[in-house]
Amino acid sequence: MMGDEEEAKDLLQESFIDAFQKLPTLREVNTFSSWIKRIVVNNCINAIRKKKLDTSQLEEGDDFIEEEGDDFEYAQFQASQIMQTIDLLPEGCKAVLNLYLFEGYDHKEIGEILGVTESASKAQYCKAKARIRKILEEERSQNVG
Amino acid sequence: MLDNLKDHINEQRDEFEIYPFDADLGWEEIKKNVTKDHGKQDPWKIAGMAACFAFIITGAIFFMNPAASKNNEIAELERYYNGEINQKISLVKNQLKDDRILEDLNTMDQAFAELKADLKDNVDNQEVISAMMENYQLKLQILEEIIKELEKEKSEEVL
Repeated sequence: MMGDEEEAKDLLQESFIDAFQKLPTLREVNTFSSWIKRIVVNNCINAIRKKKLDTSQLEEGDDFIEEEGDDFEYAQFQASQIMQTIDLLPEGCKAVLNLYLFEGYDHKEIGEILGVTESASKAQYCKAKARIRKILEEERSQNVG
Repeated sequence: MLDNLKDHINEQRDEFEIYPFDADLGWEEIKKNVTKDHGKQDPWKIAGMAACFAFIITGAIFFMNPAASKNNEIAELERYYNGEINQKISLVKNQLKDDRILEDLNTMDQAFAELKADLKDNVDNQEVISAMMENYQLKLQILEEIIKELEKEKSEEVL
């Protein structure tokens, strides 16, 4: 989500410290995993905001409509290749994609986290996927050629 | 709507974990910061809560698997661990000067009771049984660490 391994490690450490400090505020023990995940995600979002992520840019292209079916064969690429491609995405777009694909949030929740509309989150996700497909296709055609 | 990217990542989730966490470096830093921020007594509180948390997880996992209690071998192991754990909890309670840990124990026990009342799923597999045993061992290990530290503190007071 951060696009930088060292920064991600620092944020994870900070999040664990935050979690220890906020432990007395945890009321329901069975919500522990979602509670700590939320702390980590919030810290990531704050760090992204500090880097001046302009979330208003996420609202652009709100009307973007994805094609009905996504039949692209991602299995033909290595996981590391796909991750590298994700790293090339713009910050806001990447935040949406990571929250949706890896952290399991739906677009409504992502909208609340990032302060944008649900449809903006969906649109950014579709844009991100289209960009990933394009880059991967280009890489494949270069390798074939 | 088809989403091949999401499906692919869900199916191959482990392959996408390409950034391993340096656990040793990470925990050392975390420990340093937590100790600094919380003063001398708070690591005890954290240890107490960790023990309680392990207890809750153990209890939860066991409750999710009522079939396990029918298995003699598992029931025997459970009796053994419970005996050891109860004995050590008594030792810790007798030696503790900090009421906050006892309060935390009570809070966690209440939460455990609520959790037990909420859980209805029945999961029966070897993985759950292994996790259950691992949690018993972890809980014992934490309690032993607490007792060791308490004894150390006691001997330092004598000197």
